[in-house]
Amino acid sequence: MRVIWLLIFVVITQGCEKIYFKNEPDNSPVTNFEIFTKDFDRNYSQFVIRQINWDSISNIYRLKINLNSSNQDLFNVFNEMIQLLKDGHVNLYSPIGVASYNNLFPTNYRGNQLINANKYISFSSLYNSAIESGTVNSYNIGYIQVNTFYSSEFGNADPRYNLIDNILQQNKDKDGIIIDVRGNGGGNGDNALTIASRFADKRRLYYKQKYKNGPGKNDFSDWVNFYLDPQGEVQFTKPVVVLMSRCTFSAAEIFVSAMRVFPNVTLVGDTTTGGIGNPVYRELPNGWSYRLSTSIGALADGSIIDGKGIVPDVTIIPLKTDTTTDIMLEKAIGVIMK
Amino acid sequence: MSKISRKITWLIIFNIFLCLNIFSQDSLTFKTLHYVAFQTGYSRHIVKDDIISPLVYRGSQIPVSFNYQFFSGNSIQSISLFFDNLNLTSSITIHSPAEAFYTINYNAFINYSYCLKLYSFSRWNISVFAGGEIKSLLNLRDHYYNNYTHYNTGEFVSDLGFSFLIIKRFASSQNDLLSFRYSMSIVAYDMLNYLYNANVAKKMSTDAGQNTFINLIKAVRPVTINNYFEFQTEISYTKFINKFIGFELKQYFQYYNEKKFDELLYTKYVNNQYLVGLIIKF
Repeated sequence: MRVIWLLIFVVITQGCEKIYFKNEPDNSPVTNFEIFTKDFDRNYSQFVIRQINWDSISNIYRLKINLNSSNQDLFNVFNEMIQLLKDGHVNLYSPIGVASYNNLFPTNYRGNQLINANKYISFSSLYNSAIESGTVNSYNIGYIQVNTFYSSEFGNADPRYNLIDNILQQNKDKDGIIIDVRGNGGGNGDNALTIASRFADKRRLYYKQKYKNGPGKNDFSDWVNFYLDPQGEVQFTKPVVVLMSRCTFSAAEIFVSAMRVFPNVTLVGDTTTGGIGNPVYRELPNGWSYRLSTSIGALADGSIIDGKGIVPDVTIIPLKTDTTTDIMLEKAIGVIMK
Repeated sequence: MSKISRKITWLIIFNIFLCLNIFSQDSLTFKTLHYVAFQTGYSRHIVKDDIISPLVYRGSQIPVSFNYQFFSGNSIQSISLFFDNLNLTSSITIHSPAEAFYTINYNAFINYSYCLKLYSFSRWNISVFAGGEIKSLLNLRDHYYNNYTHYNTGEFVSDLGFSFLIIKRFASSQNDLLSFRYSMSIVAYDMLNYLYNANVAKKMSTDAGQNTFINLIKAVRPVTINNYFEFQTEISYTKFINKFIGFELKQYFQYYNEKKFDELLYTKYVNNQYLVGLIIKF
């Protein structure tokens, strides 16, 4: 008899779990839409700096969704809303496809690449899938092209970028170095700092960030300061030019902001994309996931990067028709040789 | 009183009725005794953390639990330790594009209680104890997306509360016990309170190098019963096979609900354990 009472009690207690978690969200299009828009409303950091009225956008697009909306309808609505944010760190991932801001980088733009490489650079044997290096033809100037800052091992600093130590050892007698990040779409910020720290003369404040820490549009933490110390086997403190463009984005902009504070570095090229973001990832009851920016980044002097980009010291933009002359690179050579 | 509070209250009343109706004719005396128990079994965790996801996350694990009790005349002192570590997943098994969300959950708690005997029902061989307890629990959640992007949230709560204990002895053996315990937190402080979107706390250092997860505990604040409601129930049956050694069957249930950020973000947590273990008496 006692055992029966015990068993009854055990069963009842087991059932108690459902008392406490009966409000799990349903998987209707309306619920998915509400979760998506409310999450952005609470956590997205850049409504004010990008001058976006999210309440209005949500109200307008809410009219396009009902309980009978299809997955395609829902995806189309989310995609249209993401286009309005114009933020490369806002994406939606679904079985239908990935929604991203379509016009993040300019089209027919020659400024994001090395033009007529063989004319200008003799590439060395020191390279890997992330970094290439060489010498500028006819000049005692080193050339380093960093194509990405992504890590092959997710989430960790990638040892590929330690190749910079070998490259700098090889170039230690050069008059200067050109670092080309014109086509670098970002990746892991730690990798960007691996490279930048090899050009540091001393500890310097290079970047600031503030984080969304409340539901109000202007609820942010204080500015958090980021410092960079010299690291690595070799420090190169002779003249350096960083080539940048409108396709220099995210972690590559962290790199540019770090290099910018060193007295021997000159930024040449075009204004960067303007997106740091510090995105977080979220999920919806229908299995779709998305990410959204939760912070605002700024240069050491407080100039905001998100939505605006980093302006170079020397602005020069190639024409769309330039196929044989890399005027950005030529300007960089001129800066070093001055 | 909220719906859930009403249900909890009825549940407690039912438990008390249950124990009082398991009848026996023995009288009850407590000698000075020490009980040490090591338990394992099945532990189920359920959590809904608004900071990281709108979905409920669940998981099961084989836990490790230790309990020491000191019976002395009219008082019982008890120390409990518990630990487990598991993966929690939501009801969504397939994400798109095929990248999973999951949570690595670390649970640990240590608890000390001191209860005095209030009354004995000699007809049913039941003694009722009440007293206080102090405990510290850590429920740390490392929420992953894509196996490399992850965020930390959790609770690291220390609290003072009250404890209510009913013990029944059986006619067949003076040493066999059936017990029911209910305890509830009264005042607490959470060292991981006031987190927002899992990346930031209300207060952060202006030096990025100091904003490690451990340093987010600068946002320590007391949480009263309005912000942090926690209770535990435990029913156990102990049977000794000789003078010193026995086995124990235990069912343990814990629930808490904490307001993590104003009226917006809450964490709800349930832990249900079915344990079996060795108990030593001396």
